[in-house]
Amino acid sequence: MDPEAIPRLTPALARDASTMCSLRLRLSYQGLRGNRSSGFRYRVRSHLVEQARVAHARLVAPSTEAFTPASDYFPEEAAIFRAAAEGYSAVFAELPARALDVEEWETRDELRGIRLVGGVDLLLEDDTGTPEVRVLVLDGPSAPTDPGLDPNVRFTAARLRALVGEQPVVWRHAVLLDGRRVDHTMDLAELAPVLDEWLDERVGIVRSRSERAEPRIGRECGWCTYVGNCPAVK
Amino acid sequence: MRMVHLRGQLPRGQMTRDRILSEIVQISPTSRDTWDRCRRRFALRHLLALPEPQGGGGELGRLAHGILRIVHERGDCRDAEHVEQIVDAYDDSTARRLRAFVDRHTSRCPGPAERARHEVALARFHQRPAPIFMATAQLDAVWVHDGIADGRDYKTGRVELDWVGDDPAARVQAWVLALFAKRQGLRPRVRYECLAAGVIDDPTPFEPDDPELDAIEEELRSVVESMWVEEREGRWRGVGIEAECGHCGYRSICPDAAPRTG
Repeated sequence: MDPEAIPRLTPALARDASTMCSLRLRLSYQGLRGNRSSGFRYRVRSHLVEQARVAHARLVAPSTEAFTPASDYFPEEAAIFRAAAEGYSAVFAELPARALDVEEWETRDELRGIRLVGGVDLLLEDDTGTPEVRVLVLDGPSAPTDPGLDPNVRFTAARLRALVGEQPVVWRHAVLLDGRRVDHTMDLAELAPVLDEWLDERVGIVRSRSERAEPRIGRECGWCTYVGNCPAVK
Repeated sequence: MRMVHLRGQLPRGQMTRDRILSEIVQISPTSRDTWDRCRRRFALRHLLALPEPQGGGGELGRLAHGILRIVHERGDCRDAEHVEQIVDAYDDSTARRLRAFVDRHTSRCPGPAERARHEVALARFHQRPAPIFMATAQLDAVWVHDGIADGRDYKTGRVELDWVGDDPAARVQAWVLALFAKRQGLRPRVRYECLAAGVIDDPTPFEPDDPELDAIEEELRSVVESMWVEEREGRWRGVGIEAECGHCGYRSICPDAAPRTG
């Protein structure tokens, strides 16, 4: 079976399953390609994560020398990239780590017949072999106050179970331009029943709403890639 | 669902891999306003989504918007006791100012109306003639009364307009609201409710007819066409004048920023 044909659950679908436009939900879940978005949007953060992964090929603490802005950046992007790289190096200066060799993009969930796509930025291990996931954002609010209840964190934890097994994982959320970091240890073995129940519920909602999908106008139309032939907005 | 094939509709030369405009350009009242002020800021903020330091102001305004929504969703803005219960959760100074916003709104409120929705997100798609774009807008409230879809935008700061139709941002709101209105056999109206202290009269509401709405659509299409010209020529040049750069969060890193004086 073509892996692309297997439905895909992303952090956004899991989080917004009950509220988003059900037609967009269905098309996203089916993994249908929509209209192309610009690859430039959010590219500074994406490049930073990619370069951080390379920087951690060995067990090291990060340094700014490991980061190089892309040659086609706007000067403003380059400035923000450099500031974020400095932020990353400062926030994680005391935390040497090594990248784990795993498929970071997606994980198959055979039980539910879906792919879990996204949600893991940077998966590393420290000098004791303890896995840690680093979530990097440029700016914005701090990490959720109760990460265990946050849908994005739960999604990441669900993927980590498949990637590193049911063991404790350190989850670190950093706001790079502000130099803030929040750490949280998740015991994946302990969380397993909660994650299973949560995923079952989320997938159930996605499937149920997909079956009776109808377009609905909302703010999300602005970034919906399926809008080109959507009857609701014409 | 069949996907629209877009390649033929885009200006020539725009299908390179590294362009910053999406196939479907999104335009909103805010992005239209930014575009008019500075094209570089528009590109940085709305196309590249680069973080821009936010000013400290506006917190009370945002709070007032939320309070007005809650007041209407749970009761009537003219019910002083009901309003008091809601603003009472805040400290004295904030509660006093919120109460004043609600008071000023009350004289402008069309409620009770046939129907009302608060914080209404709307969208409308333009396909032909090219270029295509998606316009979105959020209105603080839409009241349905007297055959009108009466869209309200609460303004808690200064407004220097005589007629809402003179504001390019309101023109986006009106064009998007018109689709919502048409489907219900209503006429669109955009009204600014000026809730700041000392403002006596609101600007005249904007009630575009069909020819005016067609003109707005062409105006927006033309704006998006200009965006493609910027893209094609790789410019996205900053306006470089103190009046705009003075409150732009990218100023310190923008090569086109007006030089600081003094």
